[in-house]
Amino acid sequence: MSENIVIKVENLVKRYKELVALDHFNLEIKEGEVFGLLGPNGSGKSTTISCILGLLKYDKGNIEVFGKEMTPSSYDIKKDIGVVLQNVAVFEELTVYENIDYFCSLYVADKKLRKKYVDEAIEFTGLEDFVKFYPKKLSGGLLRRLNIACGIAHKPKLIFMDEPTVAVDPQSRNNILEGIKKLNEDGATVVYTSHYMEEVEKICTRIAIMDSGKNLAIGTNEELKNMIKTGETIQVEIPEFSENILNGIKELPHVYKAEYEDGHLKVQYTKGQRNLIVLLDYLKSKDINFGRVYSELPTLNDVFLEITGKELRDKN
Amino acid sequence: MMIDMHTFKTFLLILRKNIPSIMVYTGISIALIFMISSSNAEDVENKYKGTEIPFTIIDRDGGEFGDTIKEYLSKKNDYKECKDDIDNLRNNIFYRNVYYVLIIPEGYEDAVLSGKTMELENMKVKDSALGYYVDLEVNQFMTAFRSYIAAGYDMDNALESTLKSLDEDVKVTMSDTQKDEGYNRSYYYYGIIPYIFISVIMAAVGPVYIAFNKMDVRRRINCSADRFRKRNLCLLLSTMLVGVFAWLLFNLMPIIIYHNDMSSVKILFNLLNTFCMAAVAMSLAFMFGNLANSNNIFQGMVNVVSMGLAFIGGVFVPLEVLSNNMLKLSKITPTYWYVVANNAIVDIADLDSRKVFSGMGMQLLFTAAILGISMVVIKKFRTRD
Repeated sequence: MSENIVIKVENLVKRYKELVALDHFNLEIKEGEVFGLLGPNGSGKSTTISCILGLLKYDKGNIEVFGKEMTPSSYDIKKDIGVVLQNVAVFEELTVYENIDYFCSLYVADKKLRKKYVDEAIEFTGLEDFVKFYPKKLSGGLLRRLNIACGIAHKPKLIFMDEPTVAVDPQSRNNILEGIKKLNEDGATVVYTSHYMEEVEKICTRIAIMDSGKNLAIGTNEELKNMIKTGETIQVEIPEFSENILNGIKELPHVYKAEYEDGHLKVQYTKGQRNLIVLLDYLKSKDINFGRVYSELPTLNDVFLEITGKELRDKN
Repeated sequence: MMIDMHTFKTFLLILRKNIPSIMVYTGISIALIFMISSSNAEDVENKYKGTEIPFTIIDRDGGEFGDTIKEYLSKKNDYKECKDDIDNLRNNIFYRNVYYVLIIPEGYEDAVLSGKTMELENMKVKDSALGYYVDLEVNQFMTAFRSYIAAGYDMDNALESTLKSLDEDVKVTMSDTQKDEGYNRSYYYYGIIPYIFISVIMAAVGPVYIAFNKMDVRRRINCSADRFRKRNLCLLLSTMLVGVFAWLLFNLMPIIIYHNDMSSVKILFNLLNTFCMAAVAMSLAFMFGNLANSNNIFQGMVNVVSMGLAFIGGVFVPLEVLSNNMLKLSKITPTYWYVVANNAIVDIADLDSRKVFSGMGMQLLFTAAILGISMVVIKKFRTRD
């Protein structure tokens, strides 16, 4: 991965009347990255993207893309950018093929080359059987795929994907994620926003965690997880338990938090090895019967929870 | 500036989806203008004709009097033979076969000559103006007839003199509010063109603008390398193409059909005037297409704008019958200036060129103003995003 900076955002401030949507936001994205912007709804992800793309005026700050200042009329920069917006943006009156062809034509004037690109985008998104369909006839998943095809057909160097998997079935979601990986392998830098941490963990090489218009943490998946205290969480089913034993567990190596609730013992560790073996040996030594045992490594949600004190998204 | 071929192509593709409704709209418009121009262009001088009211006379006396009054009433009305049967007469009145029944009782002539009082009887459709009208004619006849009898005329002479005295008919001459020359079918055809242009061009082009202006699509296009100004110019030029097509279509028809009614100079002036109106319609389509955000709202706008401008501007209602206040309002519509020019073109032999050219000039000014406002509005929309 080269170290060329593709996007540089400095001290970006965007206000909607009283609401501060972006509060001195900073960001650097390098060429070849799949960069994830992770944050709950309303954290400022889409606003950031809109500002970078010149769709929104901002109050303060500086945005550079490919080393040049980005403005609404930076057409020379825009020609290398692909955009997949959160809402499907296609013409209801045009067929799948006509839609991809139109959006590709906004960047590629050469008819022959455009046809090749459109055909490749159709193949890439698996829309071969639907080229003559009008958007109204497509399922939600297919519509998302059409939206992506319209955004990437012109083979951009930089692709923005703003929650492209919202309201998509699991199979289509996997196809989309695989597609993004493929685009990145083919040389595109991808900026991916989502509030689905599993997706971001799966495809992003670097992640920024946003909340309330601020960049709370930035790094690779591992780097982010290393930023927090929790290294491992172990849960054990125990029908009967005493306060003395819980205090004993708290004294074990690397344990920084232990609690018992509804028949479940939950022990959180900082980094350390053989935590599970040590815990189970301790329980046996105290003649405590236990059932199922779970060991979990920290997730981005744990990272978010520890940094902000709240869940990344509602559990459902 | 080069035209964005992809925008133009997409414009046509979206327009293509709209063709069925355009065809229906155009078809209805063509039918409407031919209907209006045909019905209005009938020879105005022959328009007045007295109403012939169906009536009957039951002559139980069987004398000269019955024949004479029948002859008199039949001149202006339609005599129907009916059986002297009260139920039959009532039925005929009920079904409006006759509006008036005059019954001459037996011995009427003798009674008149001997100076006795004997009244004529009648039956008529209740509360009908037509029956009342025949009643008036009978009274008129009887007044004259009684005067002659009172003056000592015998029956034959009295009846003959009565007929003579009532023979003079009122001649009705229609007031000549319109000049003969030029007020033919083509005049009425061109008179309704503003409504047709505004409604057809707006209905054709509007959905294309709405498709391009859908929030998500607009945002997506604004992210692209496609220049905003170039795209708008292309959309405007595409609209003009539709406008020119409509202008040619709606001018070709009267030239083919009414070429006998129009001199080549008149055709030329009509072409110029309708072109100015087409320009107004295009600018309106551009403005309202960019303002509306759904097809339903836009359809409402088409109806309000086309009908409103047609009524206020003197397309549907002649300028002569508009009140002064209405005329003042009318003058701030482009359709008014079209109508002024169109009315001036009618009298081609004595052409008031000032009226014609000022009418056209005003239409072009309106076009420029509407386009200017549209550009400002579009820019506002863009920054609002």
